[in-house]
Amino acid sequence: MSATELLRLENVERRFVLGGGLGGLLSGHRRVLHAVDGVSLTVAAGETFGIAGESGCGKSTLARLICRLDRPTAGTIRFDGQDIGQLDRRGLRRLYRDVQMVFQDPMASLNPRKTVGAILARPLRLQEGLRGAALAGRIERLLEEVDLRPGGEYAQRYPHELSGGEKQRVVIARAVALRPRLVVADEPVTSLDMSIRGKILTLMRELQARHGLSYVLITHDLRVLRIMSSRAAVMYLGLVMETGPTRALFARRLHPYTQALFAAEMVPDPDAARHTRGVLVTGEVASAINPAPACRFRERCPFRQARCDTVQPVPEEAAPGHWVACHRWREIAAAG
Amino acid sequence: MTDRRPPAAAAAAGPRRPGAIGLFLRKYGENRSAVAGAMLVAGLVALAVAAPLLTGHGPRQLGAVPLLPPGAEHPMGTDDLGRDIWAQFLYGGRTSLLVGLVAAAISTAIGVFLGAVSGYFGGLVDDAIQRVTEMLSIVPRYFLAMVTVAILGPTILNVIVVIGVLSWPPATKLARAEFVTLKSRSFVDAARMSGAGPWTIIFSEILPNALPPIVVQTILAVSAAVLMEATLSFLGLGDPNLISWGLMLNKAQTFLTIAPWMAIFPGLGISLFILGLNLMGDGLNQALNPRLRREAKA
Repeated sequence: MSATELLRLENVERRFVLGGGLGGLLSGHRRVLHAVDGVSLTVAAGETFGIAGESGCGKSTLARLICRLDRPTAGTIRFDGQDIGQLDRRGLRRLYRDVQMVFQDPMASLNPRKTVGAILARPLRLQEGLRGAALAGRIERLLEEVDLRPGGEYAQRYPHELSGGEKQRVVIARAVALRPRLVVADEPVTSLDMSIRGKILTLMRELQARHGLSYVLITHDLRVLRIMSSRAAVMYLGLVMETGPTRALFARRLHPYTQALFAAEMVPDPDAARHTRGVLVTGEVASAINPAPACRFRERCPFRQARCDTVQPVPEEAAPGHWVACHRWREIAAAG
Repeated sequence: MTDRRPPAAAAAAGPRRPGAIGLFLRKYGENRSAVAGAMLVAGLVALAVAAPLLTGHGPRQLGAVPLLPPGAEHPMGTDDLGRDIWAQFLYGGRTSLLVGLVAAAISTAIGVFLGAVSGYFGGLVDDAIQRVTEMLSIVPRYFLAMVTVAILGPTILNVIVVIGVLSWPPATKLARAEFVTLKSRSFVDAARMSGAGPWTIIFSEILPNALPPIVVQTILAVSAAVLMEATLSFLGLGDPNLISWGLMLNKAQTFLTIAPWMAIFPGLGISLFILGLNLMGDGLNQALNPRLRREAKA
């Protein structure tokens, strides 16, 4: 992993004030949701960086922040060395040649009133100024690149005339239309049937190999993480609990939350499942509203101690590139 | 998802899709009262448009015996000055139609634009627009219209503009609600990432999806405008140079006991037109609203 750094997040924070407005002012107490609470990570050119976590951990907010569909309340996001928070409208348009997104729900991410051709034409027209036959040809090739053949035929159709997998292929085609360098994929296969998930993931890998794309792959499915990503981060309530090479994460789970998350993963072999090491966690995900300065995971952690309630753990480098934010990772690693 | 045919098969099956329009027409046709409403409206519109062909009399042409009850020569009777009421009915329909359509177009255009801006941009812009909308909503509309027309003078143009300009709050509320919902759909984010600016997103991405309820609202706005024009005319604030159903009702008041036909026919015209428009609005709502459509299927 000596490749050049493409994306860098430094202490990125996104807070939402809940119940704002006059009522919130009058009642005097503000409820602040810490959706993303100081995330730092880097993504290298050509790699796939996975982000895993339960629903509500802030991973989708993080995706929107990276795509500048939302802005961080603190911290900076640099793409190719440039702070994307500083971009003006023209700079933003240039950014979107390099950064694109694949959305979770393909149905909601395709305008139901537009044909596939019209959907794909927009970025090509606005960003590359393509028109007429050149545009039609490019759209056709683009569709065939994502295995929608014949492309000219598919370009005529409306989203509701496509299957779920076909829709997601169109979404991917739109994302790679401008040959971006980074594609943020937010749960790209979650809403799809099991049978087509593999095909979509294969397509994504093919496109990566062909165009040297980087992916930020957001998923709650650890199998997807294992197949796709070279490095990954595990998030919990807006914080990165553990990050490192995917292989190391799977082999040497240091954070109790990582262990719990991985233990909850379904294992195909029942015997193996019975012997899976790891901790089982009970209870619901705690709230990210007005969190105390303590470990976010403490309520559900079997290794909880007094200092977990008062000190928020700082990420420590357990192995080269493998960071963990837990007070007791040494003991846990030694015991495990 | 019933139409998951491979594209080749879809192409072979003649016209590529059954078409949104075909589907809509079928759905609308199933609703009998909606069809009746459409026929009522179409009938009255046809009468108004074809007025000169349907009567030999001019609406202001004097000469017949005054206060003649309906008969062969004058199918709706005559008024106090001996003018043919059938002719007045036909030409009065033109006025109502003109006022209804133009005023509804004005109010819908203003309302949708403000609602779209309000819903899409949110924040301070939204607050400002919504407060103005609420202010206009709480002032009695008829009162405001009467005062304004009285000040500006009762010409047909003034009546249309005043009705149009005072009637946009419902369209604004509706468009705003649609835009607030639709702007959080990820196709809007995708359009933004395609390099589209806010106006492109508002008009080309979101508006087409918000259209069905807006169409319904527009139909209802036509009916409200027709009623408002009739009311203004009835109160003597309509254009005195143009015959309209409201004006006819106004004139009929004095003769209500001796010549009730003077009031019955224009009253019937207003009632049927508004009934028809409302039935149409209902039918359109059911045929266009995907939520109701899904319920109907289940």
